[in-house]
Amino acid sequence: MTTLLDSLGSVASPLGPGVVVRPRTERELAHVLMVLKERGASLGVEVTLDRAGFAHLGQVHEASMTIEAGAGVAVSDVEAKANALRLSLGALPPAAWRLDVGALVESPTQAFRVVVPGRLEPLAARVTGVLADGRRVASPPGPRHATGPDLASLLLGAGGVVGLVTSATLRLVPLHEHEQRRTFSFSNSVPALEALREALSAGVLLSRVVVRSRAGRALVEITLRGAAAQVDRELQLFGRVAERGGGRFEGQGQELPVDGDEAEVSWAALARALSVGGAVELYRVSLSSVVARGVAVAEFDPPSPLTAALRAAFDPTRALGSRS
Amino acid sequence: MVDAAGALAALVHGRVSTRALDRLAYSRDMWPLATWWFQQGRVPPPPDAVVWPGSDDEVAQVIRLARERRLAVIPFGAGSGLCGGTIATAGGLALDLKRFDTIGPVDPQRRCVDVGAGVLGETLERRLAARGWTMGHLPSSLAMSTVGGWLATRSAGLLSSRYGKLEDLVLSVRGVLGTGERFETPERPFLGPDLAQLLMGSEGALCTFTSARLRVHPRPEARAFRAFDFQTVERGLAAVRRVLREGLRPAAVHLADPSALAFHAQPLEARARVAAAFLPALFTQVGTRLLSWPRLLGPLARLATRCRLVFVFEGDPGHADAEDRAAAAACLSLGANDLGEGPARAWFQERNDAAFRHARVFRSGALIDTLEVSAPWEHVLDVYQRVRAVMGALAVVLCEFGHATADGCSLSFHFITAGGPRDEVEASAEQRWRAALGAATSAGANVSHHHGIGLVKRRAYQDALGEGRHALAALKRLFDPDGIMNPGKLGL
Repeated sequence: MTTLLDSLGSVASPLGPGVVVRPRTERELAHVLMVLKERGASLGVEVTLDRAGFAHLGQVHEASMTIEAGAGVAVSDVEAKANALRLSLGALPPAAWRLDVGALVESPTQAFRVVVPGRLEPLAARVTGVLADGRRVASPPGPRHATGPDLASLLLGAGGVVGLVTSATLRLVPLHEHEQRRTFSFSNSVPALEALREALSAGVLLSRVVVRSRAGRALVEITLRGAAAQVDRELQLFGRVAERGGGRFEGQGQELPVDGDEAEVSWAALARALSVGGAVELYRVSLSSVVARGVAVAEFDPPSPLTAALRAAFDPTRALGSRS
Repeated sequence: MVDAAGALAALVHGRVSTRALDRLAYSRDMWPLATWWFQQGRVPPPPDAVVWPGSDDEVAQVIRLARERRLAVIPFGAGSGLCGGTIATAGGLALDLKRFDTIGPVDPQRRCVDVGAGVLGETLERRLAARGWTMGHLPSSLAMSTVGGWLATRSAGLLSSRYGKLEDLVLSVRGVLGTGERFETPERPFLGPDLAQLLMGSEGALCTFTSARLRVHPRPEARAFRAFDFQTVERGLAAVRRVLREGLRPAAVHLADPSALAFHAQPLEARARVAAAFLPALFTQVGTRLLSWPRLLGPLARLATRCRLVFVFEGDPGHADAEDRAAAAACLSLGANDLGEGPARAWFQERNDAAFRHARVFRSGALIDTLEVSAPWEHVLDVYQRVRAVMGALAVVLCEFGHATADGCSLSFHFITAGGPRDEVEASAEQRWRAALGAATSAGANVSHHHGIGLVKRRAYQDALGEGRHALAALKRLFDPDGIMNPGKLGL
């Protein structure tokens, strides 16, 4: 009887009691998924997927500030190549720098960046991948489209539950030449958080924020990065917004670190966490949600019935495993 | 249909019509070819009935009945689409959502508002403005398009460079699938695919929307306007890229190529009255004859190279002013002629008049069609040049660049052609679309930036999807297993 290892072919090798697969092409990945489906096996259970074979790190498009990268390329390598041309992936949350491109683009928390005014946009301008049924899917070219349902959302930030990313065209920003920190105090965390939201709506891009709530007072330390003129404009804007919200300028700030795991949280969850005191460090600060360190509990609603239906339609045997 | 009409009437409290006049009114959208058909006395296939449900439950019941009777369901907002997306190719029911007309209170903390799918854009913006808020979504169809239509086609507004397209403004959507099941998508943070993104843009082929939770922002305290002339389109595009790269965030960016600049030029006020009185007749007599000779007009148009760039910044007065000054410095360093705020303010105030200018062209017997695509910056100029090269022999070509972001922009091409015998007009319209879309996509553009697919782009869309068409078909099987939702659209 043919073993799973044999069925998977040359892309597979034994790893302890299981098997590791290292596909290098979308066709090979599709074959792996088909074999898993036929054998009722799953990634993360009988088989470990290594996407290092998708190692293509393409050219930087300086005009559109994008770079093509295979799913197996380390995010830090993408950043290094972009930096050589004075470009950057921007202010990603710390955990993002330890991922590869595939994991970054599939992550519900990390796959997005913030643009003015406080809205999220995918880090990937384009994405290609293989769905659990073995079919290839790719997003259309262009910054935005009106070409039917966004099939890329089967992959982007989807946690790998319907398909797997094989490559992405990542959006870059000019490498920041300037960084400024400022600290403001508020009477408590409620006006502090409202000032942050107001600043986002007004057009401030916050690279990092630390909020400390203690003894009926809240300290907000903001970090802004960008071109010198841009940072100056946005600091002035933040100052006006904070002042209108009852904030008081306290000084330059000291880049105070906060311990803890990263989690995507809503503003309501953040407010609840700060209402009992403590400190949080915020990244990817958008009007929809923030990536926070120092908040104990990430709150998610149970998956939608539609998500379950999608998984059943594309991956009836759970070949992709029990990914989050 | 007679039996179904009775059953439908029972579901929606009698709000169903099979009258010829109602069916005629719902037989088309604003697809230019369908407009031309109307002018020739022809009617596209009408729906068999028009239904006006008033609740999510009623929509679900109507769709379940349609499944039982195998009737097509065509969700209908205000019919302002330009791609034939609401034409009832298989008859069936026009599902008018206009009774979903509620606008909830603004949640100032979460900066959002719940809005029914049938709310007209202009009504929404006026209500929000009265409360001190804005969506920042101002499509040129604002007065005649609905929230449901925006969701169905991934609409874009004039200020999309700042506020994003419709899909960037949606927190969640609610509606009914082609299975007859109601749904509501989750808000961030959530796990799994973004279901709202998966359903938006489906043009009624997977579901119908009944409401959405939309992002709102405080109304801007100030707007700064400025226009520049550049010697070439290349320079104008370079200026847009530089401004965005320097971290400036204009709300609106609009670059008119030389032909568009000439077509939309504002006559001086003293000349305007004369022009209004005589130009339409002159255009009819002379213009339509000239349009028969695009091969002559094309080289003439190429003699003009001057293009006009408009920026609008808005928000905090000090910030908008600072960004305006920084943008001016960037443009001047690229050789721009600074025209000040006058032409930019005029463009903004008359931004929705283009459709009325187009109507004048139609009245003269000519046809004007619009193709909008988008492309990454490295391909934008190539897309522009290739489409002009291919279409120059077939039509007078105007192009406007807009909806600019750091990674690319949209290109709206307008093709003006002379009228003629019916068969010739239809054949040449089909030829133009094929040629223009082929040129655009081969140069690196997508098939549509914000008008959608409808009937007119369905083949090009399916070609562009490649293997992805299987994923689309899988979604169709999952959400609309009987294929009753807006058949024929998106090539499904």
